Amino acid sequence: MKSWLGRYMRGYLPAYVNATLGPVQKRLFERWLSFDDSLNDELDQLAGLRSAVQSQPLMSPDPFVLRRIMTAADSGMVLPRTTWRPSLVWPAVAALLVLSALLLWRALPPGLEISWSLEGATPESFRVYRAPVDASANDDFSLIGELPAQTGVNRYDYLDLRLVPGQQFVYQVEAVDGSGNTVTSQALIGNSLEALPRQLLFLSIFTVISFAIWSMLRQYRSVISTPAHLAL
Amino acid sequence: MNQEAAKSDYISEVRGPSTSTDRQCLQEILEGDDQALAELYSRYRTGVFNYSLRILGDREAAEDILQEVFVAVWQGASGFRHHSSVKTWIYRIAHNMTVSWIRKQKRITTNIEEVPETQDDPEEASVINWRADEVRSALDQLNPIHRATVELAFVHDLSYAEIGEVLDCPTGTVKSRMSNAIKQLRRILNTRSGLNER
Repeated sequence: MKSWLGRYMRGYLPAYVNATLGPVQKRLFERWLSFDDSLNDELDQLAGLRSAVQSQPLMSPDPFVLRRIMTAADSGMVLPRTTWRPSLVWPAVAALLVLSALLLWRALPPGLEISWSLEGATPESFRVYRAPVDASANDDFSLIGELPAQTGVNRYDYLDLRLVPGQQFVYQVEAVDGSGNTVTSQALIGNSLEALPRQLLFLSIFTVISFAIWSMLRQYRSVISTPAHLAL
Repeated sequence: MNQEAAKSDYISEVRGPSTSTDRQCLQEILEGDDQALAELYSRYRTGVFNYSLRILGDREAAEDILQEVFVAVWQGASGFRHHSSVKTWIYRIAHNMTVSWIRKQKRITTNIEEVPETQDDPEEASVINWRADEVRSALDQLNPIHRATVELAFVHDLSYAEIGEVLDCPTGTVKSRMSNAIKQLRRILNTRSGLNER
């Protein structure tokens, strides 16, 4: 224990020597120092080392360097960047995330997709009903969505996102015309497990995209907080 | 400028103008005031120049880097995040440019991980007062990352957290780099003093 703590404390020797330890760490360090003779020896040695490091000759740059900097600044070749740049970053990131989510949503709908096609006259709207698969009566069907019909479009789909893991549902679509007359489709059974692979894929890809955007943002921040073309 | 003047510049940097004043300078730079840039330059030129010079050992390159650092400060003042001090920000720029220069010259031959670890036994650690010129010569043998860590800690008096900001690494890494750098210095100095390596 003492040896482990001694090694730990030894790591803070340089920080103690250059007086940059916080008050609590300093107090702890001095307490340890009061009964660890070897640490005291190392402290003396390190203080000597620091003095020697500090004794390196200080050189001055050529005064022409300042002139070159001022010429570059005055010439307008390099202008201070305006402050609006960073503030645009977050809306841009948000827009990129939303766009990625929308595209991904189209490619991998993360729910059960119910599709139907229309034959004959175009109704006014469609109502989508759902009931648990073991429902016995029509009363168990509940309206889960309604969407308007569009002239010239004969294929429609509805994405059911309110799924219960492992639960099977029966879906029915009802076409409603302007007078309130309805035509009901055949029942269709859907299992929430069918949507699981797409949901997992959606989440995985979105996580990867978010991470990539975050990395790009980090890179951008590094570029604007350190000089361009020289960020490590 | 003579060495005394450089020293006096440097002392004022180490004692430090107040952080708010540095930040005021940056604000004025953002408004296009090049005198604020000159003011900031006068505060940090000696420290930044010597930092690069000691790592590179090339006066011309260190002057080029000094110039690029302050042009970058002029260009990138709006990119300064107020999480750190202006001083650490400037040193971070200087460090990045110094390392980039080394990479361009392909002079990094030793990776930090390749530096052999030594197990110091404090009980056997002998206290030797090394001569300053020996230490300076040993410093030249450190790899650039270790040299940078030692310079930032012992010359610029930065804390581990600040060094981490400059070198863009966690505080724990700074601590181990510092420890490795000191072990390496000891080994070099002890070898020169004719002692066996520990």
